[in-house]
Amino acid sequence: MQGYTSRKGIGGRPRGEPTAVLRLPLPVANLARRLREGTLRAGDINAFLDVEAAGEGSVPLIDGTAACGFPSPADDYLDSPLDFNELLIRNPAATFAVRLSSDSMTGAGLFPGDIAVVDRSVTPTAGCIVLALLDGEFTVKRYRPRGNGLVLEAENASFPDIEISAERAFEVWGVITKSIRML
Amino acid sequence: MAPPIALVDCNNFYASCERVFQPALRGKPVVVLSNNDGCVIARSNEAKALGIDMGEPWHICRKRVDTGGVIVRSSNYTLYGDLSARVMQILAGFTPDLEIYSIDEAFLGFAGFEDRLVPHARELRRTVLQWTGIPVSVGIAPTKTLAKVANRRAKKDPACAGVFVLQNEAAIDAELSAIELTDLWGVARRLAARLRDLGIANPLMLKRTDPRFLRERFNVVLERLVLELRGIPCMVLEDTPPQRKSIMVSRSFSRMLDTRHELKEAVATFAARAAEKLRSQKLAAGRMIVFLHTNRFRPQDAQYDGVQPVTLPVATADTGRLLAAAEHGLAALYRPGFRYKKAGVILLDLAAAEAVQRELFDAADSPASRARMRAVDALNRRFGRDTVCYAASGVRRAWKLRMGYLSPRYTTSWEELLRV
Repeated sequence: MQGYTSRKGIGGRPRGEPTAVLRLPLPVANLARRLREGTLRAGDINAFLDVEAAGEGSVPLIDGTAACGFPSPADDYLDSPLDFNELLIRNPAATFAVRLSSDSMTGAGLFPGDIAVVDRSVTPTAGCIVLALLDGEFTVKRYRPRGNGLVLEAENASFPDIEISAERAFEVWGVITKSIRML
Repeated sequence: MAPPIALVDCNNFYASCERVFQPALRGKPVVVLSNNDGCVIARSNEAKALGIDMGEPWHICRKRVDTGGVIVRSSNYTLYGDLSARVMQILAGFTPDLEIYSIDEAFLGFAGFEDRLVPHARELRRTVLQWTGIPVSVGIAPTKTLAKVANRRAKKDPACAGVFVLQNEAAIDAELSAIELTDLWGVARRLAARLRDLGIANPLMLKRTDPRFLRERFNVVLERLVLELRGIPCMVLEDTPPQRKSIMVSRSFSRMLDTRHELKEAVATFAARAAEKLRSQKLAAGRMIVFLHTNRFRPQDAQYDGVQPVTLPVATADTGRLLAAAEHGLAALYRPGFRYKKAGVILLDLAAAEAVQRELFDAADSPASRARMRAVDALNRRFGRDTVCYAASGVRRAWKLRMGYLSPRYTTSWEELLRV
């Protein structure tokens, strides 16, 4: 059986440089050894991360009150990052998302699979696109008042316009204000 | 008269929520069943007209009335919660003093609107209906108790078109003489019977009874009720919700459980869910109660009803620690040979997670634990519930709720959007 201490480079004091005895956590000690041997592996650095933090705190991202150094010239121009909710939603309490499944409005840029943003607080005006309920079924069409009546226009030649007669059950569920397409 | 208080109550709220995205349900009888599709917890007017009772177990109801045309839904609390938050947000635009009383009710201080109570309430009603599709009723009066009375009339009397005001003595008296004692807030059948024995036959007579006599004969609660009927507010608006005193997660099982293993899985699931709720409010719990019981409605079965409190060594919000406590509690409770119907976990002694004192031998949740919990919560928020969970909660969960008639989560899941 081979004695460990007799193996070169394991137990003996390295020649040349002065040394000191230190207590190190084993993973860190192993790391030091492998560093010296030139057998360091990529994951070994984790030994240093494997120590529980003593406390935590938050650091403000940018703070202009630094006691020394030149204050950031960008401080005066700080803006909040772009918020897509702000872009897409005007009235959160009244806004709903629906998934389009019909191709009757492709001419208006609304394709099956798109997510339409529906704002129920918007009053429909001539020419806007509405999510409507017609005889109990949902439909997406362009809203066209005509005299005393109303026409729901499709924007795809293969779909006819729908004239809304008084006896049909019709209501606007909401106005479609935006549409989102995943590419 | 005291400044007016409005009670806004969503009509048949759960059934109305179901109708927003499923117009085919309009005009049809709709019932919503409790967790596990047990009892009727909401009915559309058409379902009420069929004689379906509130709280009635559905399997009994089906035998009693012809429910052929009735549309049944499992409770979709995700959807109801989202629509409720929208309604409350809209109500906040109609008053500086909003007290959210429940998922479908709120009290609004209308001081300053005295000269236009009805138009203001009509505008509120129109806005909530247009923006969310939820119909509401508004009752306005000088006190909460009378606002409740006014709301009842607003809801029942079609002539009111959803708004009813009780702001003068004569109108209040007329209304109180037209309703039953049990229509009053907080008067149950037993109390009504005792009042009738004293010759107090209706709410108007109750209003005219000496409140001091009622305090001596009954209690201060009834005295306050009478003062409220007289237009003297005894219950103020509470704008800031009181801090939660406990968090409970409990469920009935889809079938009876008898093995320790399955119960352990269920209790662990409830504890993990409670821990998540706890953290969402930045709280830590110092005590836990685990309970389980057999089916009380099956007297032919052996009955067992167990409650086990567990004191935590130090208040915690760490799911791992809470799971250990839950397991400990269940081990003390479990008796073989019974068939269990329901179990639950209650967290008590809640305190702000930041302020937890460390004990001599037990450290408060470590930064590593907190970071781990934050990561777990963030993952589950982003990718859906139970994306990451503790193995103790199990994966099969064969005991899970029956939700045979669940509608999609139209407003909270990209996968379940309404398709049009």
